[in-house]
Amino acid sequence: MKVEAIEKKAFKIREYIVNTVINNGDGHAGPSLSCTDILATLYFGVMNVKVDEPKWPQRDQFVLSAGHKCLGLYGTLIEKGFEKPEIMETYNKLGSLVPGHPDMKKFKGVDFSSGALGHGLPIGSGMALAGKLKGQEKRVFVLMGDGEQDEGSNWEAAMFASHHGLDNLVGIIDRNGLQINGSTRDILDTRDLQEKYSTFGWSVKIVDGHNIEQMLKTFQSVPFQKGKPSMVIANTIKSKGMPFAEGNVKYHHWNPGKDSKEANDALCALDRYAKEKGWTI
Amino acid sequence: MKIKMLNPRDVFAETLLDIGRENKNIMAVSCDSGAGSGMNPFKKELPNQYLEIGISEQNAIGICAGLAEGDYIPIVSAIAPFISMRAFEQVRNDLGYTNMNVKVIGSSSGLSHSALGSTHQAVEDLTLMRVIPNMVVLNPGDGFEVEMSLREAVHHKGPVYIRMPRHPMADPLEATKRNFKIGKGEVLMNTGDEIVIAVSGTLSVDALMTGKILDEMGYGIKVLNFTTVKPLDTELLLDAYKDAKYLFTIEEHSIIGGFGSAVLEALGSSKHEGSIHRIGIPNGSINTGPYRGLLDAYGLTWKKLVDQILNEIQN
Repeated sequence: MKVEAIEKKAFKIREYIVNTVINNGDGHAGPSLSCTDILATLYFGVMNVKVDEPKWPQRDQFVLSAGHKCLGLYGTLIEKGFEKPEIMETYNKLGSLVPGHPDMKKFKGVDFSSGALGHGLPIGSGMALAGKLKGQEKRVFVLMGDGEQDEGSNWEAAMFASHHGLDNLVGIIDRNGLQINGSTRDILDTRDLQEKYSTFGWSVKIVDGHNIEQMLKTFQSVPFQKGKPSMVIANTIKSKGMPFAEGNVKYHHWNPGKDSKEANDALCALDRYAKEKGWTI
Repeated sequence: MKIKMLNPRDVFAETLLDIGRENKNIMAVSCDSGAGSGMNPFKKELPNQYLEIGISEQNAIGICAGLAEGDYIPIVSAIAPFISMRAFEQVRNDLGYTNMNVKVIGSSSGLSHSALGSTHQAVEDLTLMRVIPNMVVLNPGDGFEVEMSLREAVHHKGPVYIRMPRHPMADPLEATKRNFKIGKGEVLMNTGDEIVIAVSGTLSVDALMTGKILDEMGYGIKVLNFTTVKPLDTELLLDAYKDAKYLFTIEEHSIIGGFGSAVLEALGSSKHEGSIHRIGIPNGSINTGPYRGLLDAYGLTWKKLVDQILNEIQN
């Protein structure tokens, strides 16, 4: 898929995120919006999956380690065709199939359940090792937050993945610089993540997490180095696409109410963006 | 008569190797624990089915979840407190709720590491593993049970926790007289209805000795053995309890949340009014010392068990 077509997909995913939270209440809008362009790039420009066979053994796999960004993943998988848009109507309702953190038993296309931070990189490493041992071509992508890097289990997996030369494993850090209580620098400074992962034996590249063209080139060139796992540090803006909320920590959760000014502002911003692009969506 | 004492680690090692030879999807996973767990013979003969993770139990469980998604059957072993407690959230989320086909081996469980102190003893692991959705919990106490637990765990599709003993144990009955099935208890002795002794894990021989002594004193005794703590054989339990005056549970585990608690939960709806007593390790600091000496200090050896039971029923 070409860059503009992927940008349109990202726009549609943003619509799912914003509309779901406006219509159904509280959700992790800010974190979902910061990784939307990454998700669109992966699923529409990089990953090899089969919509009619979600468990196809040879498929590329994706683990949303930062499971609270699930609204972005749900929107992506719906756009891809794994589920129908109506499934989002169950969000925040009894017996929902779209819980606040993704559940592989409830939503087709979710490759592994997640939610507790620091679980995804070990799971993805196991998937990548299984693929290698079985001689499969598959790659495994694990998306984490930058605040999530506080969890020590990531670093256990980082050592494991390089020790076993898992060059079919791609880590992605959605580096929006914020976590619930403030900036990542103030809460627990991760310092130089590129240097850290490099020291742990990974090959690391930094990208603009909203520049789809740049990300396409980067993801299509994995592994960056044969015999090493790849890490993509994507610099992003939390709440990207809602100008009044961009980079503002208080929009980690968002619950504007249906007829609120914020809801209207968010919808107008999406509309404005589409018009600027000349899209009729 | 010479009693055959089997080292559970040797039985585990032989069985694991046997299973691994038969099924190439078996992956033995070590957390720098291969030697202690009895995985070294496996590593030597089947190196391509052996994975060393290092001292990182949280990571190990995640890796196993990923391997299971790739159709492997990981059998991951580490000392019981580390794999069941440090990695608890990973076991709960990544194996339990997701129903992953991973076998978790808590080695040297209970008071096995008797001299090493509370950090290395595990008297809470049954409590923790029992509450995890989809988790089958096995508590073998002798060579026969270790072998059968491992074999049957591999045939069961889903997560299984096997609480492994460490010290050589005699089997309470000849293996030829025993049956093993996940979810089924067994009758070790049946001379009457008055006192039921329900045991799980390492103390089955002590429980049987206790039963024999009480029988010689004229009490009607049943001794029931439960290798499977979850799902518990409630049918066998309820059937024995319905005519009993007393039921005693015996385990090398905390009396909070373990086998005795599972029995209480199972019998809670019974209208029968026999008294139920849990014998195990009280909630508090754990002593150290020689293994049998430590069991004795907690009243878990046959002489002390007889005394405790007589004390309850005579007062």
